[in-house]
Amino acid sequence: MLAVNHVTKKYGTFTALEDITIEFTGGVYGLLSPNGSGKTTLIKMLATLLFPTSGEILWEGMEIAKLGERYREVIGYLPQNFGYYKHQSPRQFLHYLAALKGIDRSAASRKVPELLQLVSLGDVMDTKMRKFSGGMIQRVGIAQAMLNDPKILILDEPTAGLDPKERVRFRNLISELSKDRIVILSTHIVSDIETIANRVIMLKDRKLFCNDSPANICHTLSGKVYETWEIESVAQPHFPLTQRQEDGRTLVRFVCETGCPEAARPVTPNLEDVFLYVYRDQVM
Amino acid sequence: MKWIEPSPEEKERAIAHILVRGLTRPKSLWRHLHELYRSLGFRHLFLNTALPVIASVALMIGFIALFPLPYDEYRHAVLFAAAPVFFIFVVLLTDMAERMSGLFELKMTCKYTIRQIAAFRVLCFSLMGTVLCTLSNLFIRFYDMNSFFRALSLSLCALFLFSFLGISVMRYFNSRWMHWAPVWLWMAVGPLPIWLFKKQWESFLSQAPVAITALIAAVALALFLRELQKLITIPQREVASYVGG
Repeated sequence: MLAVNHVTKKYGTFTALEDITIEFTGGVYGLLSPNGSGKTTLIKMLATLLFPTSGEILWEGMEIAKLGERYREVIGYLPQNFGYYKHQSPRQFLHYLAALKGIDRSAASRKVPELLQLVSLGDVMDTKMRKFSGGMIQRVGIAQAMLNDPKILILDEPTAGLDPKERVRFRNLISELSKDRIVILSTHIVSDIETIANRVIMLKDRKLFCNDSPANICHTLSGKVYETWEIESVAQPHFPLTQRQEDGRTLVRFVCETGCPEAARPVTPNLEDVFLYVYRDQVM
Repeated sequence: MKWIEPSPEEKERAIAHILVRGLTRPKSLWRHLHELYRSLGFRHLFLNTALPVIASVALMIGFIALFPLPYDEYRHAVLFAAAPVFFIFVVLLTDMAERMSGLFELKMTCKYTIRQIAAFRVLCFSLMGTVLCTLSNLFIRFYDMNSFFRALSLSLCALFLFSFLGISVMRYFNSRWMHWAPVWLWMAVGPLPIWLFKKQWESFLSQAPVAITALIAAVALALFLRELQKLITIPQREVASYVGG
């Protein structure tokens, strides 16, 4: 188990995270919050790139900073801005990172093609990466993070810059890889985690806002989300969520805390509704 | 069931056995470096370093070749100033290349971190620096062996002092611009005294006893290796640095 206990992170006088407590056991954890809310700081602390100002992060009861390379051996990390050597092929690149991860050469020779097949790069494993699209590079990133068969897979904004098709492919891949390990995925894109996350962690005002299943999180807005074609006729105080154009008319989805307005029909809330409502006062 | 009490000797043996199994001796610098070499090999340890090495050798040769004052009159001052040029710039440029590759963070999360690889490289670069110093001394004709050894010990003295200072800066300071400190320091201790004191500086260096300069070089080398050991085994360091931020 990976446990974050009362962790606070400060940069000088600025507090990025305050008193965060989370336990990660198994499955996919979606870290969902707007940009600048501390997701990357938390991810970097889990990857030992940053260390808490106070509090502790424990892996199997031991502090990760003290475990050093023993902890680094069980993690796979895909940073937000994933760099690579353009003159190398994915095979060469993965062999290089396998060496850095302390994987012996014969095991790496077996593992590298296997992983490149898994991320659908089998037919281009010897092509220089300078010719690759953003999605292909991201898949190389996933493959490198899986090299040591990590018990903890940490992915920081892994779908940034991917087209919708690549996104779906990526989600399916993460779903496949999440068996028997902890996958921590940070994103501000709700659809990335709505279908694959076992638990969603939301940060607000530098603190932990919630850590629950997507269904339970959606339930917090149960009976408060509506849709209407005539938003101007809704007299009660309300917060508009999304708009959809159909046949020249606008269908507005909104939250109303004070009972069902006459001109609207109640709908089942989704994670995006909760996200927009929770972070309604934040710039996104 | 009847229990047989162990004798005091058996207890002692059991404790010793547990301690042998349980206590792991901290790895020495050489063991660390050997392990790195065995796991990574030279190709991976020096990946993406060809350009910095070539540029730094060129800078050192360029400094000696383009020295504006009469070379014969300033040979000790020139050798003293030129000795750390390769080391200082190769460390700086490999660090910059590492950062520009965008793999710095990822490499810090691997079993062998970029800081450990940097330590290995730094040691190799200091050895290359020693070879370059020796070659530059051989290139210059000295009247006798004593003059040659004086100049060589001066060069090594400058090289190891800067190696030690450079690696101390890496270890102690976290600031973004701190890894430029050895460059400024070199300018202050290398070329600046030549410009300020001219012949007096050359005279001071040329009369320095070989025993003293050799002793300083040996002490600086020992301090450098000690710092290297510390750099490779720092338990907790944020990503902002292995050489500044």
